[in-house]
Amino acid sequence: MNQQPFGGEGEVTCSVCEIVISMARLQVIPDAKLCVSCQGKVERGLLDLNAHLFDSSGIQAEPEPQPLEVQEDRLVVGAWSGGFMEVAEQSGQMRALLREGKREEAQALVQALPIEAQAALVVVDEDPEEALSITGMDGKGNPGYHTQVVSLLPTELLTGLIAYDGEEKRFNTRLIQAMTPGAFSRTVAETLDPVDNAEARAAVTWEWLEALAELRDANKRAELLRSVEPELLEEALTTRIHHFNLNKTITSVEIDGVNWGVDMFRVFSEDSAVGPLPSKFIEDEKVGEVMDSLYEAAPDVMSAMVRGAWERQFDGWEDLE
Amino acid sequence: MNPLARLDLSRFQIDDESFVGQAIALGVRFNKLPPQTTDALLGFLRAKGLYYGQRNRSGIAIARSGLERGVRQALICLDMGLWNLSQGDLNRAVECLGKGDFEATRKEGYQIAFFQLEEIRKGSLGLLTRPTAAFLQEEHRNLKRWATLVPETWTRLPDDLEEEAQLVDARIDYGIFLQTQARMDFLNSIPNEALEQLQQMVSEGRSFEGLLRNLILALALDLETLIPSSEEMSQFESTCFKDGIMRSEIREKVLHLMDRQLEASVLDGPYRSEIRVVVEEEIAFFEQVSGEDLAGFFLLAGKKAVTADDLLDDVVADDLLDEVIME
Repeated sequence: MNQQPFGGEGEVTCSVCEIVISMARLQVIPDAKLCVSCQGKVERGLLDLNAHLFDSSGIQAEPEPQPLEVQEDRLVVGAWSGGFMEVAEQSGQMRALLREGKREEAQALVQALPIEAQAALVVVDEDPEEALSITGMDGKGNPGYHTQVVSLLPTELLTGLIAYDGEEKRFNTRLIQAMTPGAFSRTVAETLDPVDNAEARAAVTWEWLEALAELRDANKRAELLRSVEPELLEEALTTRIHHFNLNKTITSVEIDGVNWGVDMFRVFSEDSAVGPLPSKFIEDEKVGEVMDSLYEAAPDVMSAMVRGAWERQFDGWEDLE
Repeated sequence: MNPLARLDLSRFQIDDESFVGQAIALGVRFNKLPPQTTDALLGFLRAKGLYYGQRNRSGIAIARSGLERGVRQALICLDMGLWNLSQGDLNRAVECLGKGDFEATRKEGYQIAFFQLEEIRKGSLGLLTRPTAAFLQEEHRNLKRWATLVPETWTRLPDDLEEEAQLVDARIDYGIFLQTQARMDFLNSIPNEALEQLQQMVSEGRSFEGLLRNLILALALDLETLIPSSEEMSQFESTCFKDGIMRSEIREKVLHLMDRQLEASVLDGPYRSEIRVVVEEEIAFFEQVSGEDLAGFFLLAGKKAVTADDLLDDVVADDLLDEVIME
């Protein structure tokens, strides 16, 4: 999906409808590939982007690797598998080197293993975070998380590492930064799959947004936010939308000598340009901070999310009437 | 970091207190269980804890409390299921465990637990409509709580003093519920007129123990009312006790009448015995305070009942006061 400036110089056209993407949108999202309208359709599930872009050309999207599983006494990733005893032995060797202060040798030992074996070692090791930080360690000995290893880690291990202090709501943002969009969306979806209760689902989704909002890299924030299904994002706001005063009149427009009020909901309409930051009309300060951070990264996604959550409030009202 | 690693299973005692614990102890002692049974059982409990934690998470990571709750629930179900499958026979229970099909045993227990919890919920709603429910304050509070029970989740809604939904134990709470039911069945067997009169006149400090004290006095003196006059209280003190001990003929009479009433009203033997024990404790309480003004120990109009614990607290408070004065 390359960005093709088919229009005039510096102009970017929508990959779906080929209209020119507005400069205002490109200023906020320099790598935007869709116009606001098509983006909205994709987010609402009205347009299958993969089918639209790839079917005719025969290009297939690269499948996301499946995370590591335990099958009887073996750890399995795709075609690779390792016995518990074997992986535990490698973990023990790494631990012995670390205890002796031989970090470089521990790094060499871990990084010489296939990616799948590194992921298995992280799962089995007594301190998974430390083991993971060796998988992406650079030549200067700076710890780092290997993106491919992260992609292979089981959801519950990742969630424990990301929300390492649930009570204080402190998140390992470096680990989130190391996640691919596929790994991120899979992890978010799998944390929500078993949860039936709407309030609990809202709490989980909102915590994901809080964690995402803490990422410094706005592009990564946008990339990961876009990877999550819009319906799931909307759920985060179902218990918070009452903090949003979308009926507030923000300005007025004179038409034929009559002043018409423009309410805040208009700011989030599909065809609106980027509006004021959400915190301007959100009563709860913390909610406002999270929304601002994500809005700055991907205003179109956040607008669609607010619209969706706002409209969900009125689901079923017709039946009552 | 790994949620499974954070769960300390040693906190969940599988000891002789539980039926599973007894079966494991017996199986291990006589080599009737495969050596890996304990490890397999702990692994099973971990998996169930994780499953529960995943379904009931409230944030990105699974809270330790969620995992623990899942393990506790699985352990209770396992215990109840094993008891049921083996009909309480430990040798058969060892055989069951040896097969290693923990999930089938847990499911058996889960079904029993579900029906018991449902019985608690429905039964509480029913008992709350009885006039005697408002009479027993502690029991009344429990019934109100259990009426909001959701059997599928083993939780009930928080009351005014609580912040979040509370776990209901399908075994312990069920036992307390049956005990409450037995107490209320017993109270229902007391003539309505006498009970209603007491209910109308006593608005504070209502308790099962307090009511039993009034009943003991009424039975001892062959009264038709549950509210004694000051003369009757003096008579009770002077004629029913000698040297701080209840006269044997009075004790026998009271206990005989109580037993007859209990047999007619409470079907379940263990709960009948429990009430009888409380009656004996209250007689012992009278003996303890014999010689004092008994008026403070009965449920009377406009007075708050005193319990044995209150009395003990008073003694402790007096001792502390004495110590302060001495210093």
